[in-house]
Amino acid sequence: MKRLLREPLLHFLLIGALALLLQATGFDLLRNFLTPPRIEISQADRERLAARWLNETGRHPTSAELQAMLRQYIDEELMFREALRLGLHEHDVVVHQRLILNMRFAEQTPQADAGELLQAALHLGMLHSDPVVRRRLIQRMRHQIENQVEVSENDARQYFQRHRTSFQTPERYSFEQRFFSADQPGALNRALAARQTLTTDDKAVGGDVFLLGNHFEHLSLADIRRRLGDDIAQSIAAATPGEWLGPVSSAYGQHLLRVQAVSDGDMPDYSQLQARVAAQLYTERERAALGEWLQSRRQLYRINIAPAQTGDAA
Amino acid sequence: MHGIPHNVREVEEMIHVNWRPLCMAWLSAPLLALCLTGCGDDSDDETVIGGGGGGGGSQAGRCSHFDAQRQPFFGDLHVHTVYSLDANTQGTLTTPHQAYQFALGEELGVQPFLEDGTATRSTQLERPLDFAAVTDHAELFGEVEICTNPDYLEYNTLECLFYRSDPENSFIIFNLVSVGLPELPQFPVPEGIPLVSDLPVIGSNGTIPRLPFCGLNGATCLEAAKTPWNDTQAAAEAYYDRSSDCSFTTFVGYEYTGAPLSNNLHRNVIFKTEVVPELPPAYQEYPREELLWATLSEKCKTEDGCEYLTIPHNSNLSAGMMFETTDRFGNPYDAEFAATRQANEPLAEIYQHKGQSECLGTMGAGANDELCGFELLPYNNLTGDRFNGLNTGPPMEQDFLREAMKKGLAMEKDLGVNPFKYGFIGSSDTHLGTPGNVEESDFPGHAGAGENPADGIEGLTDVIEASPGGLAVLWAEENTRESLFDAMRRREAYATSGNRPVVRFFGGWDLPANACGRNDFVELGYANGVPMGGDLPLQPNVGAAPVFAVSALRDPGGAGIAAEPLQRIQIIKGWVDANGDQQEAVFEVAGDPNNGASVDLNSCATSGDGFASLCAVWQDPGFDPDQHAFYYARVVDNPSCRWSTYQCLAAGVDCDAPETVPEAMADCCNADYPKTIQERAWTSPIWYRPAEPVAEENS
Repeated sequence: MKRLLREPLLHFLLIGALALLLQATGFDLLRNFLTPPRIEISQADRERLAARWLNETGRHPTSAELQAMLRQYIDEELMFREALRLGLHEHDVVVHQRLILNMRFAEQTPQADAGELLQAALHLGMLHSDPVVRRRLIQRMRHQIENQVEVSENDARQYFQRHRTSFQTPERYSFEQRFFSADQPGALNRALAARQTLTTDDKAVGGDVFLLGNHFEHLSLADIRRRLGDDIAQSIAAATPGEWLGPVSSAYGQHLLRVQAVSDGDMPDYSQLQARVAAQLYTERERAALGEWLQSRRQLYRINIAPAQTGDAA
Repeated sequence: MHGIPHNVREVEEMIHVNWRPLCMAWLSAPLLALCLTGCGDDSDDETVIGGGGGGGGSQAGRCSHFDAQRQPFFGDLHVHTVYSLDANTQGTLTTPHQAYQFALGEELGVQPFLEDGTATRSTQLERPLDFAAVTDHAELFGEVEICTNPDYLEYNTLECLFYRSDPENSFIIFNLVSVGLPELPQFPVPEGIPLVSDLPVIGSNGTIPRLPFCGLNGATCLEAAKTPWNDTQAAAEAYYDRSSDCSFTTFVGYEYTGAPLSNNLHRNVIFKTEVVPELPPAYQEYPREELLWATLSEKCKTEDGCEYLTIPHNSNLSAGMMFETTDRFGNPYDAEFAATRQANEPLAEIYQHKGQSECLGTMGAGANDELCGFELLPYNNLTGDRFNGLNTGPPMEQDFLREAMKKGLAMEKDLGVNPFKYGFIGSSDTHLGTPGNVEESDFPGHAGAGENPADGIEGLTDVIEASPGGLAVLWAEENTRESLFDAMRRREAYATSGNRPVVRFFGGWDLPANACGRNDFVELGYANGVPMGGDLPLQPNVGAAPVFAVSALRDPGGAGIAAEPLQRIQIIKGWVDANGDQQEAVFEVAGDPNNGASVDLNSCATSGDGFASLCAVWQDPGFDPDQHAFYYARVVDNPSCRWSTYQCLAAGVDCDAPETVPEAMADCCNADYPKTIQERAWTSPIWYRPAEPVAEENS
């Protein structure tokens, strides 16, 4: 019996059984207590992130910006590591294709068996080094977390009520114009003269041809700005309906304007906006769920950030 | 009645080749009935899902801004977000939802975020867009996961069974199914599954699914999880304005990313409605365009409320493949194949981040057209300058649309059908999730395809040969999916290099010479002619020559927007002469190429006169009624600084003192690239086709 207890094989089996039990019962906390997974942020990581910022913006990051980048990097690392732990790569077609493609490129063996190439790529640790694989797994982990979020009909209606004003649509203007082209001589003088005539007889003034026509229906100020420029839009916004105003100049010439109708912005009802409301509420809740998840994972990992060295952030 | 003649012509072509599925899948609603009659099919059901079909323009639409004479809508149909992993690996985290918010004019916060949740950076569009489509690379969606994960309902479909039994060769099997046995249903339709409705479904437990519909038959509707394709659809639904304001339109779309040996065969697939295939057919399974069209025509049927078109882009980088005159087996085109191509691809991208695909300015016919030097990439495929040019070569004339369209005329002469009948759009191809961000003065780079200079050194935000890209403009009655999609189908579209001019282009036999001075210019154009993208009717009497009326308004600009006046309008004609040789000519029709406009390269300030508007009525002096031809207009602005010039100037680069120029800024002094550009618009062509010769054996 004593002999049996001292048998290394038995020890091996017992340890194995214990390990299996731990794994099977999912004692993450215990596992993490015994061997906490680590995330190390080195000085090189800092420098890489700072260099990337410089590259994108043309200036050095502030200390707050660098901190934000470090936090984002850690968040992504947490998602990547958890995705690997959960085996999300095992059934992922994008990951497989990418690894096989890498091996084909590296070994120049287009005919090799895909399964063998995949094993070879995994053996080489490509799972950890390929940027596309990394992005894909982060994305999948993120979707797995976000997929737990639900939005009920009731929640969406309440959300709509709370944010009603943000769904208000802008005022819309219908107006007519007489146009005097800057490509013809004396546009301003012709417009000023026409303005006098218009007040007595608005049929008597033709003006020049304008490709977009002389009647504009149901446009928002943003639409007017895009079609006719800022000054016209501002004049329309300030106009008294029914009265001619101008001349107002644009990139095209001089315009005499008369607003015919202004329709108030509309408050669409919920049924028209359900898809957008639900999408916004989903986004909000997904962000919250991701935040909570990241918070809980930060407890499980031992995160070491190398202290900033001098001259780190300008 | 405008628009009818050329469409009837197309219908005739289709009936002529007697390819029934094409008829079914490809005609807009008003013509469906015609087609059905022509095809001898049951015409008991012309249900059009998604509200009326529009198209005809005779009845009022659902929008309060409806205009039967049509209005120009500006947008971007080529946008990458977080789901394009090539963008994502470079730090792009913009979601499709955020991309649409950006297009609407909202400020986009860029990662990383500070402790309090505020973004460290932000970007905003000076001028919002009217429409946009997020088109991520389907090859990286990983939707095939649906076949490998038993939790998905589709796990047991025929297609998935094939996939799992032999994933490596599955595309061959798929092809057999979709090409060889077109009657075999790909996705059996379960009984009692409701068709798509406009409004989101409420799930059995009272929750609103992320995706309010799912696939053609709604089978997995209530289970819709967050996957890239589902999220893409959900975002398009959320931001499509279905109210009578019609303030913004989205399209569900994706990019089919086929590039054998880096030779670009990329296409954007745009869907008309929310009814789309459950899985976006991708290059892995469908490795040539004809296989893509075949599977789309199976999986996206008009009678189910699904319609699509594909838009090829960057033909300039296809190393001769985009406009090959053979199918994938090397067989020359026949009429049926040519009709398939024409029906699937009414539009092509003539300009975007990776240069123009209009004409090659260094050799061949285009060398005589000095404006063909505009934004010309110096290589012929996506490899670009990497690997020391090992896998690439100089650009090839046959990869440019002008050349391809002339080839198309020659093929039409032989086959009776023109396979390369393209209207034009521009796009950004942004990999930052920022549709329409195409200002030269503020180009943040592209991410994804553009390589930034050496890490950590201030430099140009992109490789010197790239550019911010352009916009698509559609002439439509109203800003709805139906109206815009119909405009794409009839090619009433033009491309811009990022500026926003308004351009009308009509062709006909009796457009009056004084059309420019008339207030009814547009009515005349539609009544007496066809708009851009159309086909001239048959020559009405011997000796008649076609007349073209083109009218343009400059980009009005605005606060924070640099915009130049117009310089000139040209009409470009391509034709096949009596000897069968392909010809082209450029005609100056309005404005003044020598107006003396110039740019001060020390400040980017512009000077010189230009035109607020230009208009011309032009008759082809060399018209021969026996020769196939096309005509398109090019509307050119006064010169302004190129994006790189703004950046080099801001960095204080002094090319006279080369030792002071940092390496990452070296391209500021690269004489191969111009310091200025002339922003421009390209209208879709109008085609002329001789009358069919009277049949010799009239049976």
